[in-house]
Amino acid sequence: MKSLDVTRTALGNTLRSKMRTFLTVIAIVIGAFTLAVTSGLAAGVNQTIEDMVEGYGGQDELYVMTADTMGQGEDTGPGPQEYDPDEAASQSEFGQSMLSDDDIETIEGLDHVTQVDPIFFVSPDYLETPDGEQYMLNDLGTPADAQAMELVAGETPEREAMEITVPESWLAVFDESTDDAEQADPQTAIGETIEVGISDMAYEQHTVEAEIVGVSAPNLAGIGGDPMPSHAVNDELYEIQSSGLDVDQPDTYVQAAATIEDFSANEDSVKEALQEEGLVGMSVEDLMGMVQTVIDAIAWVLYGFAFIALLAASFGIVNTLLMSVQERTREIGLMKALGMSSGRVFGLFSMEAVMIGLLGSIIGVGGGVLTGVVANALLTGSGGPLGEIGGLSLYAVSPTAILSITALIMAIAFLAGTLPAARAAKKDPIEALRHE
Amino acid sequence: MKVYGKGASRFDALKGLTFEIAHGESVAIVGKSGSGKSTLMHLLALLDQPTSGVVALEGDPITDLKPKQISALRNDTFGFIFQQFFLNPNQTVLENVTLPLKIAGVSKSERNRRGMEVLEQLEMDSKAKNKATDLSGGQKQRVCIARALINKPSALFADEPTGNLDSNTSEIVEDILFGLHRDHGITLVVVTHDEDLAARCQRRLIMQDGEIVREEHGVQSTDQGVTA
Repeated sequence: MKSLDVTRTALGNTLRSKMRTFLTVIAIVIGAFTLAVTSGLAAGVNQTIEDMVEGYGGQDELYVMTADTMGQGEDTGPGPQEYDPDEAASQSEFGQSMLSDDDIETIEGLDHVTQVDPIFFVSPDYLETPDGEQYMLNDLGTPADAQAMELVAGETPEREAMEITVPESWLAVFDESTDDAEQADPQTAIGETIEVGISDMAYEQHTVEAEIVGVSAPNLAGIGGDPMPSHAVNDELYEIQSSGLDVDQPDTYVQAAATIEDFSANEDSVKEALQEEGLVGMSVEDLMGMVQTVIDAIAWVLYGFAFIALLAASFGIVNTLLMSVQERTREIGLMKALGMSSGRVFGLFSMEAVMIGLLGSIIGVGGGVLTGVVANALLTGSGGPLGEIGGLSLYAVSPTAILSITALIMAIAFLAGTLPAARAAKKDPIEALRHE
Repeated sequence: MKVYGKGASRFDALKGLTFEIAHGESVAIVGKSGSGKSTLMHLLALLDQPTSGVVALEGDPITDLKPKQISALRNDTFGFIFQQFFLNPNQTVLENVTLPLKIAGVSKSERNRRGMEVLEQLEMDSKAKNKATDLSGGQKQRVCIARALINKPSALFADEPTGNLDSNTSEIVEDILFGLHRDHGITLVVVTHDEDLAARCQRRLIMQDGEIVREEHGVQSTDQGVTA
């Protein structure tokens, strides 16, 4: 018997008792569906993250924190710690240890570090448009993130210039022709001068002027979702924010962004140097890698569930085929009497198992991919609940994943089919033909 | 010799048989049920192996052959006709008839061509597309004969070919079988307790309790006066 005939006959046989095949296939469909959705989800989110990392372009910064923050310092752990006045001063109100000016100097002194920008958070009060309208403004972007920002129009603020970008959602404020931010023309905002209002520690309000040079779209990390000042604007705001009282307060920072020359070559050596100073440096890729690790872990748990479903389904195949072999004892006997070798009988029945697996994986993977693509379009498309997060894709179709899922399921089905197929192959033609 | 079972349940189905069947001969194996005639035919048709002793085809002992070679030999040189027909009810007549060629690995177009040829020969070509279940007993047996003939066998084994048929249909089926024997020189081995059928064979082996008790030669005239 030719392989093509074996395949064709096997397919015909599986379609013979449609109800039984259908029920067996359902179990496989569930497993295949879960695998397809999970792999697509993991691929989609990871791809989004990769796109983001790539979007950072020539990223050359390390985000530096104290080692304690990352749970890597020496003086951490449960139990009382000895009091150290310097140490205590450099704690934020959340008990997180902060970088001091000394630390910043240390980082600046490291080899290959060309620039260190302490990251501090500024809480302005309002933003005033040229026509005098004032809008609530609670958060500003961190200038160190500016390179990662996705721009719809214009450019990122110059370090030393008094410049700022605004997010897309603010556009309606500048474009008088429309109230809908999505309809607004980004060019209307660029070139406008706005004022940022901020209170000092004595609750006295001051303003800082800045020119809008770009319009940003929020990305998955939230960068670009708030107005993004230049370093100069941010520094001035911070200056105002921490002035007003006649107290000398040491400056502390949660993080600092260190710019490194020839980043790919010197990344590791700088990280090591930081480590020796009790500091930790992480690149954007490191940070995103942590997210990816979590996503992968979740994906593997779901793969595990899908695999259990497939394991259960494989017993369904064994059962179905054993019944089929029993019912078709005579047919098997006839085929063997007419000269079909035991090997071919085995091949025919295991091919039936593979066909059931193939059927299940086509329906399951097809359904999974369709569901993923449609759900992704509904959730992250414009108007969807996650549509605001720019560049987010929850589902990616990966041909490799689809093919390997199909291959895996067919392999499981084949293994499940070996027991019934071996039983069919062992049948004695005479006994089989006598079978009533 | 063929022995079933062991020890106390040991049952000698066949004991010490020695005979030859020549090319182009027609032989009937006759006997009551339990006489071992079916077992003998299974041995001759290479469906079974003797417990001791040798079955040889064209002078070559088949015990030396691998199971795969024996299967191929059956597929290639033998045709089988069964009392219960053993047609696959889900398949068309043509598909049933071409099964041996499918097993042999012949391409589909060639299979169908030869299938139609042999169905024409048995005047069953008009039923080629019918399901096997839609046929009468005589038609089913003709389909079985077509299936047995499709690989142009040198020997036909028929196990009670007329056992499930009425006398008129039996006669038609017998005429077909002996016609093939006469016109194409096909060796015919028939297991039967139908005396009319046995009488039309050139040789009859009468079996009892696993032994050939009598051997008759020559075609006997039957009540219908048919001679071959």
